[in-house]
This record gives sequence, structure tokens and C-alpha cells, in this order.
Amino acid sequence: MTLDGLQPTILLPALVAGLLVLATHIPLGREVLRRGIIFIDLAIAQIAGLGIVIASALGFEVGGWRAQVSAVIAALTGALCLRWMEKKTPEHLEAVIGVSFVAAACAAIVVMSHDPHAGEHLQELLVGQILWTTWAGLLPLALVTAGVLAGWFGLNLKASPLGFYLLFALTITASVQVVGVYLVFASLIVPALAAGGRLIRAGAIGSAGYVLGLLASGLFDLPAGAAIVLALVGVATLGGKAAPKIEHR
Amino acid sequence: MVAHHKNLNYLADWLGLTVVGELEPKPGMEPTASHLAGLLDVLKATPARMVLRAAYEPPKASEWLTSRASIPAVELPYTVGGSAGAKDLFGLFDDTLNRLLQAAP
Repeated sequence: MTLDGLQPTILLPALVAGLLVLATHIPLGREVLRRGIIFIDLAIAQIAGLGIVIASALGFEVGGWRAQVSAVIAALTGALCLRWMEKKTPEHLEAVIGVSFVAAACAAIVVMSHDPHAGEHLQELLVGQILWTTWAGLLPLALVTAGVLAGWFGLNLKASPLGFYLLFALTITASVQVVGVYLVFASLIVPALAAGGRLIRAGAIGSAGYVLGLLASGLFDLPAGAAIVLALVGVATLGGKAAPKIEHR
Repeated sequence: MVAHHKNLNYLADWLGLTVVGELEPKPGMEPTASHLAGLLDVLKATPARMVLRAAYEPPKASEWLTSRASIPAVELPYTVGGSAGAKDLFGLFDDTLNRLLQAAP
């Protein structure tokens, strides 16, 4: 255990990134749990990744705005297709989501097989890169967070299924590139699940998870993203009660 | 200089460069906060002139270090086909040396 491993200049941007992610993922996660479509974030994240891989194969610079637009378009298209499936065969929706996840992953592999650069980006999405966050790099995430929250609570887009899917696609595309898909999943599901749908309590659980995970990474030399996921699960198990307040359809 | 991962030792040896640290010790696995803290400490004692990565390695880590340490980030083709200039073995060496010289004239 070493105190030298704790450097605020490294940990603080990562923590702020985590809090921004929690701000959108907790309310959206509550809705995901209510709808019972737990793995939609994996599918949408993978589809967004496919968008980036396709952009890279077309020669666009990864990190450039064209790749981001490609990712958002892919994610929105995926979300709209899932919304359409939800209307057509609601009983099969989770299965369709699973199939989409696997199909998007394999489509990305096929596209990547011809592009030497593209492979690293997909791996980045899974493994997570929260420690690479810079203050300047937080700006796009902050803007997306503000926009999504404004749409969710302000325009009451949460009332419409289409609004949910579109905001969800936007949020996931942005956050998965900052914290990786495992943290996206954990931030979406774990606090909302443990707090029984109560937002403030979920926020407390989520924030505690991020703080403890980052501290553990610095103190015990652990990979940051993975440590945060485990800390979220730990805090949720100790501090939360899955109260039967989430109505299922 | 700093490497993304410890895969540039032959190049460093040949050119007489010193690798003072690496961003991602285990390829594909995210670093720990204490490793990055240690790297920044090392850089305070022995500053690096640039951070190098292979073309197949993701740029985010190098961008993080660039914003922190104000040193240029250089992407090297690493193999034939890794960049437009590295069409054959000669191109590989020419392109690699050009990129290094551009970052540290």
C-alpha cells in the first residue's frame, strides 16, 4: 500500500468523468431496469464501436468529428431499430438485444480484418481508459451530459419510449469512449438497482463507488476501471437495498 | 522518451535513445493510478523529449501525457504497412526516422 500512488492530478479528472457519467446513467439506468432490457447498453455500446470502426476503415481519423458522427449515427440507428422491435415483438426484445450485441461485435471484427488501425479502438472500448481523461477532454462529455439531462428532465423526454432510446444512444456513445463498456454497464445498473430506483441514494452509492475504486487503484496498484466496477458492486451490496419500488411490466 | 508499451527496445538501442518509462505496462490492460503517478514522478527527475507509440496502439494515452508533460506524441509505423510511408522495409526506416526527427529537430 503506497500513498505515493495517490496523485490528485491523475485521479480528479477521472473522478469528475465518473460523476458526469453517473449523472446521466442513474436516471437512464432506472428506466432500463423498469423496462427490463438490461443488456441494451452493451448492444448500443458495441454498435457505437462499430460506427467508429467503419469510420476508421473509410479513412476518417479516429478521434476526429467524422468518427464521432459515425458512432452517433450508428448508435441512433441501432436504438431506433430496437425501439421498432420493442413495438413489434416485445416478448423477444431481450433476445433481440443480445443478438444485436453479438452481430455488431462480429460486424466490427469483419470490418477490422482489413484495417490495421481499427482493432485497437474496439479493445479500448471494452477495457476502459478512465485514467486518460484530461480536463479539456471532459468538455464534450459535460456538454452531452447537460444536453441529455435537459432533454430527460426538462423536456420530459423520459415519458416517450422514442425519447428514451434516442437519449440513451447519445449518452452511451459519449460515455463508453471515456470509461469503457464495463463501467458504463456498472454505472447504469448497479446504483439504480441497489437504491431501488431512488435517485439520490443511487447517486451516493455511485459516487462512493467511483471514489473508492480510484483510491484503491492508487493505493493498491489496481487497474482503475476494473477497480471502480468492483467498488461499485461492493458499495451497492453493503449500502443498498433493492426495494421493490421498481415496477416491472 | 516514453513508450506506450515496451516494444521499442531494438529501435531505442539502435538509435541510442533512452526509454524512461511506459504508459501501458501490460498491453491492452488499463494502467493503475499508482503506475501513472510513478511515471509522472520519473519524468520530473528525468524529463522525456517525446512519447512514442506504434501505429496499432491507441492514441489516448499519448494524448494524456502530452497534455500533462508538454512533450510531442509521435506515432511510429512499427511494421511495413503501418503508415502510408512504410510501404517496404526501406520506407519503414525512412518514415520512422523522419517522424522522430520532426518531433526533435
